[in-house]
Amino acid sequence: MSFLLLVIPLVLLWHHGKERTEATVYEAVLSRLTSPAQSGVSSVLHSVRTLWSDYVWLVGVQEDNRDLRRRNEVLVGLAQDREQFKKENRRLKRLLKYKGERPDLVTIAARVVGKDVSPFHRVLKIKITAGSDHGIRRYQPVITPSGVVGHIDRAVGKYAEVKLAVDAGSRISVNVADREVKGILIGSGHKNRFLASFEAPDPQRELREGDMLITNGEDERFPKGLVVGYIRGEPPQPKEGILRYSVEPSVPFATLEEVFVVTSQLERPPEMGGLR
Amino acid sequence: MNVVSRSLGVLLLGFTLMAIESPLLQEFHLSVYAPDLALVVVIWAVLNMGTTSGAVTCALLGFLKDGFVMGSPIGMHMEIFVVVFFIGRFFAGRLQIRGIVGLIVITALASILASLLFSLLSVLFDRTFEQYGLVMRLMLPNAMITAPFAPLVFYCLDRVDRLVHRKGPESIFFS
Repeated sequence: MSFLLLVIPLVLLWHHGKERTEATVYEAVLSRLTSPAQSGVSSVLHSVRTLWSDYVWLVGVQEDNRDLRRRNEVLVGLAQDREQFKKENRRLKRLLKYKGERPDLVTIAARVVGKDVSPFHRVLKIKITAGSDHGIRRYQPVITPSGVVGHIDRAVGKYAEVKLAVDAGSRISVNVADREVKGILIGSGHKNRFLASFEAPDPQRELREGDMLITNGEDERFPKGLVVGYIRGEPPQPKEGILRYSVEPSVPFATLEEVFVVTSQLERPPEMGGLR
Repeated sequence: MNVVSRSLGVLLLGFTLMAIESPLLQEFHLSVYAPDLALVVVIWAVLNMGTTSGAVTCALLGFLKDGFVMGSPIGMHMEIFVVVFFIGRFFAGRLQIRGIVGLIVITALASILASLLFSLLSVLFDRTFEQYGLVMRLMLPNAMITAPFAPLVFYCLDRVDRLVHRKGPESIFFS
């Protein structure tokens, strides 16, 4: 029995350590178990926070401001609601505008519901509310109007995990905007700093701080023309003929709330509107 | 039947702790400080459960943990927890944990062992994993973050165990 308990996980580990495009049965079962639980707890916590900020905290304020109690409660609640709606409205408008700007991309919008808390993979992956049930498949690009977020790593049921572009295993083929320089963007894997390195194979073409990196589509994963990041810091010394720059991603990963998953790219964009 | 209900109780609490941990830490912007609460459950199983039932419980707990930890292949935490359980059983017969401080020290050592096992299994099985330096750097901080939670998790497990298992074992909190 003990031997079996030691060997079965090793077999599972060996089986799941391989590169694969589809989630296995075990991954599917686990995702269906854990994702709704996390999502449920997240909703409960959100409700508790809302209750605290909208009611319990106000009760404390009421004691100090007895005369203004009722009016305060209503006005603060309304103001908070209004601010939240405004922010949400702004985000959604931006998403809609972006869909209009890239009618060639067939996308599915999704909300970010979780970030990883494993100390060894922390924040380099996120979980979104779109999965295989919505036609999401592994390696599909995930983007926002600000640029590239990463790609789908695992999609099961109504949820999917996204490997961020800054993950150490991430490689994206990019061009420097308005300059004929091509390179590979490599994730740094830093847990708190979202930086990545840019390898420019031609040391003669020095890049400048602020130069914008965009996808060139040569990796056959990310559509052409998506912003990935900006060159930051001083030009480095060439190492074995390669310049490795620091790059600041264009997407603020820590505050991501909604993303698009690119499910396919049309050769010719539709003529009317482009909103799908 | 008693053994099964006991294992189920432990698994249910472990699952609940893992489900709550991620959203709770995010809510308070503390995702950087993630204690390994499931590992504390394994240590509890070492001290309170039989060899077979404890090992099976730890394997299932590891399987659930693999679902919560995005990025690690399935089987990783199953293997880590089962190995930690058996090593823990080996030493449990020779050492005695005294008081809350002893429990915290043991948890910290188990966390370091789990990190070392994680590195070893990643080298052997996970072809996509490249962050060995990060694992080594975070080994001690992670142990320091996990260890203080051990008394709290033990307290919860003892409460649950008293509900499902009438003849409660000797406990740090209920002896």
